[in-house]
Amino acid sequence: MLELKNVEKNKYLNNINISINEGEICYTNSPLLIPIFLHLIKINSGEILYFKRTDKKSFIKTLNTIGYSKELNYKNKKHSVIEYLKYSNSFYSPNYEENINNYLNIFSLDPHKLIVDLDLCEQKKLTLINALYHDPKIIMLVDPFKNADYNLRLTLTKVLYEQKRKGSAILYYSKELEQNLITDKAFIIDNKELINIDINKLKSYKRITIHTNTLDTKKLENINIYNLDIDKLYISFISDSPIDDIIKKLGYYTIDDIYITNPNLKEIIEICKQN
Amino acid sequence: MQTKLIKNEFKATLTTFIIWTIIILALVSVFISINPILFSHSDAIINKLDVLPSKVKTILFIDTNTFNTHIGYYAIMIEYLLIIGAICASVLAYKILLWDKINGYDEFLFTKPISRKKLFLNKIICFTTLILIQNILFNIVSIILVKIIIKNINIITLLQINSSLLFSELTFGAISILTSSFVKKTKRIYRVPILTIVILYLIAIPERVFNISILRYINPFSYFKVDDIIIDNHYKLSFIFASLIIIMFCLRISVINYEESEIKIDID
Repeated sequence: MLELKNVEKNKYLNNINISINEGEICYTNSPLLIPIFLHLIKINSGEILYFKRTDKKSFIKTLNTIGYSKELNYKNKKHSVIEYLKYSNSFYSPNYEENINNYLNIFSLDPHKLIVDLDLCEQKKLTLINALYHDPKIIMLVDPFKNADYNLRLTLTKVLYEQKRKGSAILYYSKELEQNLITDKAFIIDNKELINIDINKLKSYKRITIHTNTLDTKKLENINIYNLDIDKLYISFISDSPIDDIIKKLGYYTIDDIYITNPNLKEIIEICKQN
Repeated sequence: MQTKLIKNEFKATLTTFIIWTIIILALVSVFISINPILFSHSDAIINKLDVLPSKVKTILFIDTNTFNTHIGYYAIMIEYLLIIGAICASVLAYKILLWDKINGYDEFLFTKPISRKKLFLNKIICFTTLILIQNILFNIVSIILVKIIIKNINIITLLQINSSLLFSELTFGAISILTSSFVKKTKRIYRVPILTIVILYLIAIPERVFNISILRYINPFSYFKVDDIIIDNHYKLSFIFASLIIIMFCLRISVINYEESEIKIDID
């Protein structure tokens, strides 16, 4: 559906090859991939393909089928939510007013609220509706879960699964991989290069922190652990082993003292490189 | 969709347009209104002006030989008006071209199914329309005031002289559209156009004072001299062509720049 072939961008990307197919949800940690796909920034060499075509004229037509959401940077203070969406809708034919109303309901956003009065979560809702109402075949989202409250996270996840089911290709960028969203592919760029990491492997890494001063560190030898950090009051490490296994091997059953969090992407990349 | 876009462009520049149009019309009104008072004391004024060195008079657009004629006086007014008009056109061009960038609409628009060439064309249509409206208003006001106050100026000659404002506004507008397409920062955007006008005006000084004809081709301020109308009854064709070439060149480069422009991305 959309591809990058041998793309180079001076200091940031080197020989990047990417393909996104129908019904795939893809993640990238590079803020450049979406702008490159949208021709918002130039590349030094390589090709950008939509439906196997590279020419710019067909790209303008393809924009009919692309939904794009980024942080709201719209400073017309007099516009209300509905005015903004109607203006956006004026670029497309046919008219998607019914879809707009549906999405306003789904995301529970007041259509008559002025843009200037929207809080960050509502602004996020507005940009997401703007990306979705025209039934796009390709959806590109920048930081879709940033500033999103619990309800919005839940709604967005549902909406994206629905779009995936309909066959839309979804590419999202954020600094960290969204653990709650089933992602089919991850395009991790490190040091200009695309790193080949399996998405399930990527999600399997957990940071485990145990608040204890009595744990026998010899027990840790039986577990796959990385980035170990030992303090008087706690031990903390990253592991890709199942949690049950870890707890069994450590012989530690007081679950109240165990905290499981997602390690940051940089740490995972380092571990993957070591392996 | 096109109409909505153009409407938005108009909305964005309306305040600037109104302010500058009021300034131009007010200047014309004041200049023409004081004409009878100056005329009644023209000999005394000319005597005082004659004291000034001839080069200073040239820089100030004062010609004491024609000062006591209505058309000569009107010509001086137009020379000053050309500077104001050039600044106005440049500011309008900057506002229209950089409005989207300043307000974060560029990314919004560039991801909609409309070519950047069309977006640019809309901006040019908006700019030209505003300049035309301003010139129509200027012509109406100046003709009415001249008819009431000065009376004996031929309307055709007056319209010909007035058209120098339109030509120079379009030329300076095109130059500003070109310079604005290179601007990356969105703060204090009016520095560049105003500086451009000042530099071009400074280039006009040696051309006027020392009569260096080659400089006349470099500087659009000298393209539409009112003297040409007074003496030959028409503008020199070579300068009209030069102006058209500048406009075409500036617009061509600007549209390429606009099509190739990039959005600022935060990479940390």
